[in-house]
Amino acid sequence: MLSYFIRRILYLVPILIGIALITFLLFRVVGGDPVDRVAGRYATEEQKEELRVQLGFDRPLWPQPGRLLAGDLDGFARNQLFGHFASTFTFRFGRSEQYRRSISEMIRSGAGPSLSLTVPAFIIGLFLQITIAMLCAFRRNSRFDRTVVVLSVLGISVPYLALIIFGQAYLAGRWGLFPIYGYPERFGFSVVRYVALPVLLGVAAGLGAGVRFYRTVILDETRADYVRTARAKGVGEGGVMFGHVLKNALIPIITQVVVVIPFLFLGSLLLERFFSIPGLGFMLVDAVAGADWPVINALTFVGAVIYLGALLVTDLLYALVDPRVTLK
Amino acid sequence: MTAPEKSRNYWLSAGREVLRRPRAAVSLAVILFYLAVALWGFTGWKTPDWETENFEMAYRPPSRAHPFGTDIYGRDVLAKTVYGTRVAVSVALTASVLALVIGLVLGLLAGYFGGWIDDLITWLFSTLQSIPYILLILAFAFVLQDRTFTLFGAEFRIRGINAVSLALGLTGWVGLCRLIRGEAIKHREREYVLAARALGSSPGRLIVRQILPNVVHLAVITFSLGFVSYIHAEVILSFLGLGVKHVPSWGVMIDDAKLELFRGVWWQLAAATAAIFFISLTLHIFGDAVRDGLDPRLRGERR
Amino acid sequence: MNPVLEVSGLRTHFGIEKRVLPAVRGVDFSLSRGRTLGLVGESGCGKTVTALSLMRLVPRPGRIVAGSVRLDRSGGGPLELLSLPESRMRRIRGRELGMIFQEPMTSLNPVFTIGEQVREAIRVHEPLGKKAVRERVIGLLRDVNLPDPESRYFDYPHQLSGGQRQRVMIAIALACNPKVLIADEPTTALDVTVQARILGLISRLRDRYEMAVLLVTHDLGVVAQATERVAVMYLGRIVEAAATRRLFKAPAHPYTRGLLDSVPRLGEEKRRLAAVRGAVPTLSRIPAGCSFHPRCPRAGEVCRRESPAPREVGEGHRVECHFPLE
Repeated sequence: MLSYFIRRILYLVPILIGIALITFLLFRVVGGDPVDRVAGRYATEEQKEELRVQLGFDRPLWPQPGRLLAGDLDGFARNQLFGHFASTFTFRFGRSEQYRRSISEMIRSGAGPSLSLTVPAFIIGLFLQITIAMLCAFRRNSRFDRTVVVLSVLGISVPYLALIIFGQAYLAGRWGLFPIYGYPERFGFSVVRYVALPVLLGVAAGLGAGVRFYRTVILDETRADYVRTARAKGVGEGGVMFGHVLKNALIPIITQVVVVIPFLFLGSLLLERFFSIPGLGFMLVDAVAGADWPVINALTFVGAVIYLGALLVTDLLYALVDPRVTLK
Repeated sequence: MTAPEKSRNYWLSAGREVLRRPRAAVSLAVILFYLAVALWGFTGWKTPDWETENFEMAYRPPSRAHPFGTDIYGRDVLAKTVYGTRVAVSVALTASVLALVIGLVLGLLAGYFGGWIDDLITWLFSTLQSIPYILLILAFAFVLQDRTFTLFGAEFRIRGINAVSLALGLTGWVGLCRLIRGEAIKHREREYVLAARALGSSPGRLIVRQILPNVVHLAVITFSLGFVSYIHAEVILSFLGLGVKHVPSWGVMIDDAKLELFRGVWWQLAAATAAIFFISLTLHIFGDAVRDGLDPRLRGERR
Repeated sequence: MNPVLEVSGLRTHFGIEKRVLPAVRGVDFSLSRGRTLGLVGESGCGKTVTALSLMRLVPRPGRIVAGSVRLDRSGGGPLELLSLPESRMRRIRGRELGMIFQEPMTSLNPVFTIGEQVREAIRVHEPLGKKAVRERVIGLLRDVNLPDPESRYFDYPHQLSGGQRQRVMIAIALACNPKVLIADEPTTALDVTVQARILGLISRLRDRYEMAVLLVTHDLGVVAQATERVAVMYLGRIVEAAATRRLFKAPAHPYTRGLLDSVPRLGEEKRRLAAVRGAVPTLSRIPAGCSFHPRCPRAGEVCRRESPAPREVGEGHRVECHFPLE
């Protein structure tokens, strides 16, 4: 099992290099020299040059093979690509151009608020989606099932942004059921008050797609031969659905769930923005608005790393649920 | 040995099977209506005027003269919605076509040739896939906006809206590529392809004649579902300030509404939401119908 | 001897959109204790649907539209299964009627152990203590000749071979000592050598548990090996029924004759393969009159108009044909 994980992690190396390469191409090669942006309008040429050296932008973009042939290892290593790799893989993302704060520190302080919003939304959402999907499969082709199918397609078609704006203006603004926006200075129980509406909207937005997906998964499973065997034993419909079908359906469900995990950390961009929750999603939107390149670069890489971590967790979960899978 | 080539008859009967469902036929009609409105927007022939500002007419609720009301500058919301259709459809169409072409070509290449070509393409899409999608589009759209490129001596400038199409298209091909690659690998070893190869068909001819027809339905479904997601993405990117500027789009209209709604001005939000709602609803229904119609396993079964 | 299960006039239809496909069109037969009835026919003739109808497990959009299935009870009169409420029918399944299926690969739930799956079959019907159930499960696994049952108890289906899985399926079907065992193509998916052993096992267990067995198959070799009586199905009807030896020796229906001729025999110089010409018509276009007439070498004018009434051509030998073979 240990060797399995070592192999899996080795397999991730080319992917991680690929991600660093993509961020390099986007933010350094296409993005170009940031010195003019960072230095400000009143900086002198000398100050700019100093900054350029400090940030490593005076170096060539790509490694120079000529230097390597000449035996100049130091010179070969002095380029922006290697510099980008070094800082990316050690998670030293530098400072935000906008706020001059350490990006790592910003990410650390943003993770908490993001999770306080997304974890409850995720858990409540998943619970509702699977429950409704199970009820549909349980009473397939009933009036309830058909109504849910229609409602979920209608739900998918509502633009997320419109839902948020409507919820904020009416549920919070007009009817005063929730605070319009905000987040407490210190983490405590009062957080619940502020995240309640965003969580509700997040759950509502994901419900249609989730129910549709899980209903299909569970219905496919109810057509399996072992379901007929269970019925032939005299097992009731409840026992068939919860005892047999659900455990098998967990296998495709896990695959779907893991894809969502990185978004738990990154938060929901739109919800955090609208409700002024100082999480990573807010940070990202803010960085886009303020053209804060290093922040976007950092969040892209961190998001990918979390995703890859989540993939490893899936393998563990598969082995836990499906006896046919062994980690070898 | 005959190739299970899907003849014109097959596609005709599949098309009939799809359109036999009233829901699918109505959906297709609505989709064509949207395309027509978008096309109309491009011709500029008697298109409604969204530009004239008239502050005395600001925030008028729907009336006979302005069926969808007016916005803060007194501009007609219906005219803005029509112009927004043009923006949304052109973004979604460009992105879909781009994603379709990249996904199809890379998927077929990887699946058919295997070896280092497959390794390289697999590496590329595994890498792109491990970056959370929304971040990926954001990063691409952000970096590409207002850039100038020199390509073969000609200078290209990517304006807001093109950056969005490009970002969506350059990131949206991954899922399709994966599917096509898998299918191509499956078909590569089939007898009819082996037979054709033994008879000395060139790889290009083989891909086009033998493998491509067997993966077309995947492309059609991905295309219609991709179209929906690009329309929704355009809304979000516009809201984040990465989309169109100075012209109306559904995203910008919804964004405007976030302050209007507190004053009870609901019509701009309603117009844009309804426009998005109906196109994505009909595309979903149509996509489902195509899947049911082309998947023989599901034919005849009521879902 | 009193039959354990008596089926009469059974009709099962599949309704797809507005079309109705009659899969079973009035079937009568009975099963007796300690005997095996073979139900034989080409694929699509309705034999599996008949078997599932007895269990009332016909998948949607299928529906039993008419007929009766009477189960003999030790005390009191026979029990009509088709009019029982679903909750009572559930108590019949597994306890009075056990069933095994064609696909041993997929018929067991992949995420539960063998022990758990056999145990469940007992526990849904009988409130026994943990230890008692466990002992009975091991006993059952031993009865079906599963090697090393104590450790197999904790194995998952994918760790077993096809034949072993079918043994587990049999153990599940027998868990509550049912009166009737319905075996739907139990050996089709298995190797020939394993086939013979599984058939032998079913016969031995039938005698030991004093069950009636319905063996559904398309394989006449299986019928010859393991049944006392046989019923031949064609397009949803039983066209001929007789004692197995008699049917093989003197088939009365041209269809049965065709089936028998299509089995290659050793030592025969020229064999006529595919002796039944043409293909089975689809259920949506069942021919009028005798449904076999388009493929029948003996068909006459009356066959196109009238469907033949069942007639006796010998002791316990019933056939539906206007011109039965001598």
